[in-house]
Amino acid sequence: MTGSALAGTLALAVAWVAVGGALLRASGLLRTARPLLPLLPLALVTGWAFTGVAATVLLMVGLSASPWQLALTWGAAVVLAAATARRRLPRADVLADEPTGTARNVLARAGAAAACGYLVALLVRALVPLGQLHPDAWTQWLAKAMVIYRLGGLDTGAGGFTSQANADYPPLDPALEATTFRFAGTADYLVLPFAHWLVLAAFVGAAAFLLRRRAPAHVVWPSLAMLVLAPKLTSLAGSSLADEPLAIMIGLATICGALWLLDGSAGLAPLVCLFLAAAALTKNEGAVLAALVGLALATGGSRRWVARIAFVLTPLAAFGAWQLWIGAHDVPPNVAHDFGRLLHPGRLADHVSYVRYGATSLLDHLFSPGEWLLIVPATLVLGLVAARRRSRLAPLALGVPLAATACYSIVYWAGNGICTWMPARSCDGTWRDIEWLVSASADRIVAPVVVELAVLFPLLISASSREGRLRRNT
Amino acid sequence: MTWEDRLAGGVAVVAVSAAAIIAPRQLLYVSRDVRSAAAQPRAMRTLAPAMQVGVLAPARIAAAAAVIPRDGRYALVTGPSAPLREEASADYVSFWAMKVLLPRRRVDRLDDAEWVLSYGADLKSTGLRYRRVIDLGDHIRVGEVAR
Repeated sequence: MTGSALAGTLALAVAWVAVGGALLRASGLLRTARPLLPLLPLALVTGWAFTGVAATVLLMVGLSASPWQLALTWGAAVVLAAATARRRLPRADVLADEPTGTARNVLARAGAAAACGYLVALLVRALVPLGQLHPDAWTQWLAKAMVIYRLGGLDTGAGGFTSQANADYPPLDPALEATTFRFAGTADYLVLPFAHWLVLAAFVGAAAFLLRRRAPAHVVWPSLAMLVLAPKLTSLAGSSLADEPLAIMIGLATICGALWLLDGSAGLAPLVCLFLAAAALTKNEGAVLAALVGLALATGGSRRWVARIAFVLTPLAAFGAWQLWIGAHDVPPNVAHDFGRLLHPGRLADHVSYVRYGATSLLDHLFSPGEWLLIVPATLVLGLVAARRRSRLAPLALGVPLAATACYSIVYWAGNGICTWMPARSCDGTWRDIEWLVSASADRIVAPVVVELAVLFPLLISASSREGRLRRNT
Repeated sequence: MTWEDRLAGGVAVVAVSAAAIIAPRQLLYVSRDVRSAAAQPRAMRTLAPAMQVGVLAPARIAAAAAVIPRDGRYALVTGPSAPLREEASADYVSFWAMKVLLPRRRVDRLDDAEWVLSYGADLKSTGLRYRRVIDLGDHIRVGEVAR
């Protein structure tokens, strides 16, 4: 990575922190009287998500999302945020009744050392990337980023955005990659892993900061170490697959939403909406997952109706705007799926093997210790305990993963095989055909679901022990 | 402490222990990636995505950027002499060409093309007349269509 590319990427990160900090100040989460350092990661990921949404909107209205256009958008956001900044946090933002003790301190420090140490190892890898990418990363996501960078926006001409694979997928991820290209001053994709690492590291820092509001350090840090060390997260980090940013957006929406349910901090609601909108504009699967998370939050038992309605409507509105763009620009339907099949019971019955195979494959990946350690079974057990205790987190811990797996399986039911869109493949029957589609995607599309569960893990443990303590005291 | 508390605590201990056990192996994998990357020149690493899927002459395709003007429109044809690891790799040639040749626009119809990029095909088989043909090596040629 050249010095100028590194400097450009860092300048972009500074801009993310600045605009994110302004948004956090507006939401009441940032106060000048307290140390700023712990808030920097949250400011970075907030600014990153805002930039993604802003760039997508700029592209959809026909602009190029150039650095100057983005700078104007950031400036407008900072001014607006300053005008609406809240002066006080509704409640203390660090756990007040944290248990102490040598063993707990050792556990907290060991967890933090493992998570941070491993992130440093990933930083070295990001600075000297191997360059090997999943075919989906460069045939779809990077190809679209190159179109935005080279042709100046969502070009609909020959060889443009709408000529790329899965042209119906929303453009937030390629818009962010193209922004990195512009700031780095090169379209060399080897500069991207460093930008991805910055976001991943900031996500871990932001998660730690937010989760510490409800869970003690000896629970938070080992939990985050478990997520960071999961083999599949290692392979996704810096992969330029959209599943990586989607997992981070969903993770952040889940943390902020869960804290909103537990704490009642009004300032967290706008952040939830931002991350849900960003998730819905990252992938079609992201729109499904964002809608499910929004729905789970809305049914979590809070009485704040405006926020509940906003959680449900925000991902729908964001994805709806993209659908309007698709309709206005005659984007051809995605050949990988035939959703018309879902309306014909006869045709669905012919393809019942698809849904069986798809669901089995999704569950295999979700529960695979070789990919995600024990995150999914462990969090589901904690979710069942939470449901038994009528916890507000139960819909997030149980409803979202179950509904997401069902939705993705149904999408596979409507799936077409690779023969329909890559003609050089030798297709020898429908079964082999759908097998390729599932095997090329199932391992990745579960990633955001697992991250959603992983960030709930410390909250569920903490809730369980807190309720236990309360019962003992009464 | 209820059975639910014990269950939650036990689950947490087992799950986090699994992460601790796997940590050294993960570090080994990452360090292996770093060593492997450091051993390769940067230029080779930028071609890795195409090589991975069996497109064996990706640099020749990128070299077409020196021939086709930035506002040019090109069509791509592949043929039996294409340097590919397997037949299915042919699907990826157009993706790679599009990635490395932008802002040059790839068109689907030969009739719309000002240039034809041949990846192992015989340019004569296209039925078009060419003002000039540039050989990029490895059976890869670029022809400027005569209109």
